[in-house]
Amino acid sequence: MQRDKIYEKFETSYNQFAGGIFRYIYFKVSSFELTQDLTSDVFVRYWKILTEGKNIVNHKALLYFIAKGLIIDFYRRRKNNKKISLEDIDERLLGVLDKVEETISQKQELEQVYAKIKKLKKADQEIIFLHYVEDLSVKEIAFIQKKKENAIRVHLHRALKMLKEIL
Amino acid sequence: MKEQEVINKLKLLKTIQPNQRVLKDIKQNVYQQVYAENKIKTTSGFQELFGYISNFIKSYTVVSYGFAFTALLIIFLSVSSVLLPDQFHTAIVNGRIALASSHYQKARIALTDTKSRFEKNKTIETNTQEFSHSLALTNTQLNNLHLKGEKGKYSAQQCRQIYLEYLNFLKKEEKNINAKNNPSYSHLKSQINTYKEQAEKKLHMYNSL
Repeated sequence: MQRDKIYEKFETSYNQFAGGIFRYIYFKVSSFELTQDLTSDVFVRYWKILTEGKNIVNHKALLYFIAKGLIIDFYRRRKNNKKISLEDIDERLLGVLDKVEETISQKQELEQVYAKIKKLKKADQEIIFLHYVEDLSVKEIAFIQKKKENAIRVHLHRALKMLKEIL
Repeated sequence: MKEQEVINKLKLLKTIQPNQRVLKDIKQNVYQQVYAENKIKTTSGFQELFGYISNFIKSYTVVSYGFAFTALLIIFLSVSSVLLPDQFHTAIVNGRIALASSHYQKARIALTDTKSRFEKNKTIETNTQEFSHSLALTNTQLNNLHLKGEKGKYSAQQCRQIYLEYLNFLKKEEKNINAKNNPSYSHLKSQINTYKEQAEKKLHMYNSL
C-alpha cells in the first residue's frame, strides 16, 4: 500500500475506532494510564500491518483482535492476575457529560450496570460488551475470538439471558 | 427485566470514553513510535548493505577486482567502438591475430581484413595510412609462414594458396592506384610494389617445392 493511502486509512480507522478500543481496553484493565499505553500499542501494531500490505477485510474487527491479544499478553506478564474493580469510573472517561449532577447519577448507574456484568463469567462479559457496547457483529466477534459464528450466536443468547436474570 | 431494557442499560457503557485531547495524545505517540522505528529500519538497511558489500570485497578480493576490471573493460570497449570505430576495428583484428592458433590463421585473418578494407566504398585519399598499416601487417604475417608448413597446423600447399591470393590482390590494387594517377598515393604504390616482388619470390619458392 502506498504511503499516502496508509496514512489515509490509518487516520480514518483511528478516528472511527480509537474511542471504542480505549473503552474496551479500559473495561478489561481498569487503569486509565495503562489503557493509554495499550491503545497506543494497538495502533502501532495496526500501522505495521497496514505497511505490510496485507489484505484487511475488516479493520474494526482487526483492531479489537489486536487489543484482545495485547490484553492477554499484559495479564500474562502480571504476577498478580487480579483485575482492579471498576466501582469508581475514572472521571476522565466521562468527558461527554457536562453537568455535575448528570455525571454523578450517570456514574452511579454505570457502576451498577458494570457491577452486574461483573457477576457473569469472563467470557460472557466479553461477548456482551463487544456486541452491545462496541456494536460488533456476530461475524466480527467470531473473527476476534476465533470461533464459529453459530457458537457465538448461541453464547450471546445465553449470556444475555444470564444478565437479564441478574439485572 | 425485558431484553430491550437490558440492552438499553448496556448502551450506557458507551458513554465511557476519553476526550479528544487524550485521543490526540495517543495518536501523536503512535506516530512518534512509528517514525522512530522506520528511521532505524532505513538506516540499518543501508548499513547492512554497506557491510555486506565490504565483507564480500574482503572475502573475495580477486573476484571483486575481477568484476571491477571487467566492468571497466566493457565501458572502455563500448566508448571506443562508438568514438573510434577504425581504431576499434584495428584493435579487434590485432586481438584476433594474437589469439590465432597458427601462423597460417594469423596470415588469413590479416589478409581478409586488408582485402575488406580495400574493397569497401571508402576512398583511399582519406585512409591512405590505414591501408598502409593494414597491408604491412598482412605482409608481416605472411612472412612468418614456414616454407614447408607446420605439422598439424598448416601445409606448404596452404601457404602457396594464400600467397597466390595475396599476389593477385596486390596486382589488382596496384592497377587501381595507377589508374587514379594521384601523387598522394606514391608511398602506398611503392609499398604495394615492394610487397608484390616479395610475394612473387615466395610463390616461386613454394612452386619449386
